[in-house]
Amino acid sequence: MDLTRREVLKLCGMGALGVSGLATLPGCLPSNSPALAETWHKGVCRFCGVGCGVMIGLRDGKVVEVKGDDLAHNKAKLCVKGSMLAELPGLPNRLLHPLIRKNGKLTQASWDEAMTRVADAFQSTRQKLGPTGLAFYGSGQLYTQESYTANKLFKAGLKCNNVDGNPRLCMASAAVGYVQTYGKDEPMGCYEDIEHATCFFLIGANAYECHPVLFERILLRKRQDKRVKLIVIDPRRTKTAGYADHFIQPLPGTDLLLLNAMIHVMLEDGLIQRDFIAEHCRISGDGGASDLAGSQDFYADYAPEKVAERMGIAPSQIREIAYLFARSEATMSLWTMGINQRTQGTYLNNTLHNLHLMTGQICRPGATPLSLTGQGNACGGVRDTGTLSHLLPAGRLIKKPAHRAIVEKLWKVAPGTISPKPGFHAMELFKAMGDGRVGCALIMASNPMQTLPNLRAFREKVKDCFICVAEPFADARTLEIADVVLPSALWVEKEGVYGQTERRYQLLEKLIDPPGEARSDLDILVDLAKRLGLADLISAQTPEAVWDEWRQFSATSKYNFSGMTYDRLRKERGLQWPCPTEDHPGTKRRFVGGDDPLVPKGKKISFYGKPDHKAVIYLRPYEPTPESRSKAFPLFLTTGRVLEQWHSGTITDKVPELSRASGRARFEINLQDAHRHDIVSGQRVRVVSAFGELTMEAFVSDGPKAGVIFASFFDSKRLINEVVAPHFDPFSKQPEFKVTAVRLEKVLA
Amino acid sequence: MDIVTTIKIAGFAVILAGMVLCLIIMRSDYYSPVYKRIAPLTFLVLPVLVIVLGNYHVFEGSQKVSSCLRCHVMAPMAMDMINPESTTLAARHYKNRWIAKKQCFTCHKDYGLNGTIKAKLDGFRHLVKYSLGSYTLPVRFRGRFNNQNCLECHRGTQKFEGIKSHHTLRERLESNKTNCTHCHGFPHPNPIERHHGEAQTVSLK
Ligand code: SF4
Repeated sequence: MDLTRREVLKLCGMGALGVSGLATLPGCLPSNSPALAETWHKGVCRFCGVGCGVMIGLRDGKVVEVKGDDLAHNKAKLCVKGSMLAELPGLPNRLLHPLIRKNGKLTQASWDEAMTRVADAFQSTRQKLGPTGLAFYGSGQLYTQESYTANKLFKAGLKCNNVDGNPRLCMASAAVGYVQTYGKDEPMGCYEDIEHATCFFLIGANAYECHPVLFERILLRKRQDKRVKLIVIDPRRTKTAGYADHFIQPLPGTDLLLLNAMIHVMLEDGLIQRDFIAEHCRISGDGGASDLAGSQDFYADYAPEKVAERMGIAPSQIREIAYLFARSEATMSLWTMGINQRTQGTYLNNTLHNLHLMTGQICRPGATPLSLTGQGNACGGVRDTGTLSHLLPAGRLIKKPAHRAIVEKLWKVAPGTISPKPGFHAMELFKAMGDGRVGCALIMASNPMQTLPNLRAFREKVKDCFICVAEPFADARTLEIADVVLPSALWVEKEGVYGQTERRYQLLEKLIDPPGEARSDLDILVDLAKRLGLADLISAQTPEAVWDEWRQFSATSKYNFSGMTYDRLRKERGLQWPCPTEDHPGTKRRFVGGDDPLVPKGKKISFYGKPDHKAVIYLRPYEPTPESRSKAFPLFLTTGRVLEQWHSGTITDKVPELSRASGRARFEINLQDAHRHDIVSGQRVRVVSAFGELTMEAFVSDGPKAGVIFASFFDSKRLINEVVAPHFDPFSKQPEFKVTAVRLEKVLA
Repeated sequence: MDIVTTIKIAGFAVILAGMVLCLIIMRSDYYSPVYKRIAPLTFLVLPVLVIVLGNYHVFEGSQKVSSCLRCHVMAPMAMDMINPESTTLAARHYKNRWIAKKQCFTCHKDYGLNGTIKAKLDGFRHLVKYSLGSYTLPVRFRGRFNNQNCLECHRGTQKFEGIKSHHTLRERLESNKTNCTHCHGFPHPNPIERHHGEAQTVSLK
């Protein structure tokens, strides 16, 4: 064979090209392993108030995979609960059919039978007790459209203000705190502030376990900039505290002393911003003090040296964190149930705002108070729609005639329809259900028979009240008191809007059908309205129609989000209100000129919720909690959540990976207390309060402060809330889950 | 001179010598007809050798961060990784020297011999697509990330083992049913945050 050099080179080249070309043919070279999902859809995690964006993968009409959405605020991160969302539609023990209690047993019924029974109970109770004999107990896990519709149905349709829900148990103090201080509920800050803050002040918040994705963001910020300081205040050495630069462990119930002492130091050391206070704040003291001199007198009683011992900490710790808070470039406070679930919850919230207002650590990137929300839709769904017994939608109050008049006009009902008397708040409501003042109640997406304090007292008494429970799971403890049970849809089995901590509203579209005969809570409310002859009032009957009504309603208020059309929500990763026009990008920082469209032109900061555009610095005195330690009850019990479980565990405890990770509920006991009681880990112990007792295993650790016992409330078989005291804040009416005087007893085998 | 460069130079020298020898055999009367008949077969072997060596060159070169950075599509990921201000997973691994070299490749190879070959073929596929322009921006990762890329280093560490859910999710993690990235996030900037830098790119080339 005779080949020229040129031909040899050509042959080599062609050979190489031929083999390489194969690579471009589909399937010739392996690609990445295939994803499980055929299609991806954006959605939101249905658990906590962080409101993480998720991508939901479907195959053959089933949810097969869920991952974090990289375009959402959480940048594709999820906590372990969120990572298991794909399991939700397949969880066992779903309610598939309505149930009616017959001869003491819940038995299967048709929807018509069940709804007729409910409507009859509503009608007959109204005849017997009047509108105040009815009640609705909702949830921060209902969709916004559902809460809005329930609120309208009860307050305008049934003329009944007994509309409350589980957000009363978790966010009421934060909400009342915002309203008192700034005139309007909801935070001014946003998650993005985390990237600008140089000091994080976490008080009463175990963010590592309860708001994991946000805490990860805080840690990233800290790693990015070594100057960033993390201050953690908690009676328990939590996992959050493990990352703190400054960890202070006061006794439960004493932290208003701490906050007031910090202000004392700031006033004493000239750490306050007098110009900011003069321009943007008003001072209001219980004793009539209205200026800084009066404040100085008020805070004189809170010198660290005077109060530190009562908290079980050192005065120098208070001075140190006061300086850091005031002098940091940008301080961000984050708090949750440790502050809210307190008899002084509102005062604590006011005083946290004082710290920011007095030091000018507010309305700048990174400088902001930001209350962390417990439930995924407590903000958007309940607080904003006013689905609480004292509220009307968009921050309006039942007790104000002008507010009632506006709402009546917007809801197109006759003047005087809405009763001027606020309804029963959660604690009073269940009391009223027990003593006959309320004879018929609808409970939706909530499990109060596990989550209310002093549980045994409530459970025993409410049995005479007719109770209808709409719930996805057959083993929720609240079903034990139900006369009718309605199977409800869960998460992407229905459609609606979720509004999380930073005023961001996000749409969750329906992706799959609910199992059996389950229906969305909105469908149940619409059906009930029809049966009660109120179909004209509840004319918006689909999620989109209700949203449009609510969106237009908001235009008349400082919540204005009328620019958030359904179409925009479908496309965007949520929008933050105010958002008054369809081309408005949403508001990151409220009350800040140039960002918030409601701030008057030319103003850099305007607290426009108040008539004089000034935030109020309330001087709030410390009062000891009603639960004091005594010889009979020498310890404090405090309760909270664990990372892997969501609230009462009705959902998460059914996911084996989560359930095994959390283990069963147990008492976390300080080493010293365990030693004194001769208790070791794993041993069964009894914790007794004036309200009840519970026996479960002990876990001995250096987590809780000496004298403090911790327990979580997720375990439906170990109801810690039977031990918890029923005291509540006089302003927010939020119960004090965090402080109950108890004693510890060793259980002999 | 490192071993890789030595192999490359030696390989090319052998191929070149083979080609010259083959031509000499075919043209010369000195060699017996048997050799003359075998010699043309070299032209079948040589292209394969060229491909093998060429690909070896590509594969070895593709392990370097600088080679990812040269690709217009991948540059934003690499740019982010070397940005000390960035908080993405990739950037933190780079900045903290958790992975000291071949940072892109270390996370994008699948462990074991098959995995390594597969990863290299993936890279080769990307190279061909890039050269032919048969891709659309923004590029999206559509497959499933192999958790072994993470577990190979993290498994057994105190930090990893200290998280209870890592144990209860172990089977899901090992089988890729739950991806590490499902919780820990997308390791690179999302399409909105991607950008091509210049200064640092140059410094790495
Ligand atoms: S539970 Fe909260 S932090 Fe966890 S993924 Fe869901 S929204 Fe995010």
